[in-house]
Amino acid sequence: MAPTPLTVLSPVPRWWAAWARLTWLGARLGRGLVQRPLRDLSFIHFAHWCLVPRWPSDPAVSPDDAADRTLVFLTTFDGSNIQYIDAFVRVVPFQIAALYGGARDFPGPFRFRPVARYIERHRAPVDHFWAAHPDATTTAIGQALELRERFAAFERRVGGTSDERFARAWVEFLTEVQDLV
Amino acid sequence: MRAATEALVLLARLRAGEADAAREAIKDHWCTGMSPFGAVPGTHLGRLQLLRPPARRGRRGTREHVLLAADADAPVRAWIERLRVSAAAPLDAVFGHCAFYPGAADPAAFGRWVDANRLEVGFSVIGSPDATLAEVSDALTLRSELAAFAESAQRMDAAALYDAWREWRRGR
Repeated sequence: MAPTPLTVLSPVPRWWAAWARLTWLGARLGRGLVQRPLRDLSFIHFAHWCLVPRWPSDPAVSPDDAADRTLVFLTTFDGSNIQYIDAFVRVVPFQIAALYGGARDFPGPFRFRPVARYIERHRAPVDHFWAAHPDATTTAIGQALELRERFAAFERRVGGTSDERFARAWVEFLTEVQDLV
Repeated sequence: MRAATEALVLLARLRAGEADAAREAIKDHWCTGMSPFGAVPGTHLGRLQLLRPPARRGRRGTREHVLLAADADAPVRAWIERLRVSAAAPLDAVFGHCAFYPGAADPAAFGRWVDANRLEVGFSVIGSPDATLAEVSDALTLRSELAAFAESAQRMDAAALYDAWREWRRGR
């Protein structure tokens, strides 16, 4: 199943924009502590948060009413929007609160339905999406990369060995990686 | 350790009245046949969309923008140049409807435009942050080939297994 792209735009007040930047700095200094529970969910290919401080303008026309500061969430994941939002609400509600607590009209991170409605109202349809490996889930990619590492180690171990030793090592290797193949 | 991938998020303002034409250009140049993203080596994921910014509280009128986002092998600066070269026509077809877009023909002007329109990514979660596209592709291929080899080698004796293994490895 091809991964699902989602783009969510959340207007935020000035003070919350400053706070969001602070949380990102904290997350970077935390060396993966914030990312880990999200990565452990094993269905996010990529997720990015950006801040639009001011939407680009066109001097040929009068300024419009675009919100000054907008939090942009771009993510690509396995499964449906519903599964994704449900997992976020269950697993990382406090991280969601830290990022969206001050966003305009955000209903709070603890109940699925209000969050799902919020995302439905704030999502922007993706017109074109492309993935290099559309049939590979995040789990499949992670397993394949781990298998590749273990396979390289196996090859180093069996270089120049006898038939019998190779056969034994092969069986051991297959047993070791059976969950990755 | 530096991540093996880097994100690019570009946001450009459409000129008034050109949203429909930009939407058609996405359909014609990006959604028909092979995606231009697929022609740029090192592209993990790419998206292109028109979006309308949220309005200020109590207001309604906002105008559409184009967003292009990609996750690519680092450094993304080199990927942008590959994108410019291999997807010049599709880029021009869509971003040609945006204010200030200089076209993809002039690398310096295009680079300045990218710098001016690029959004800084504040925070990311990446499934396999240490893997380039080539590594992911190789790992997925190895996984399926290894499974096939293991199945075919199930009832071989030790000598036949080792011979088959060496043969398989030579073929990879």
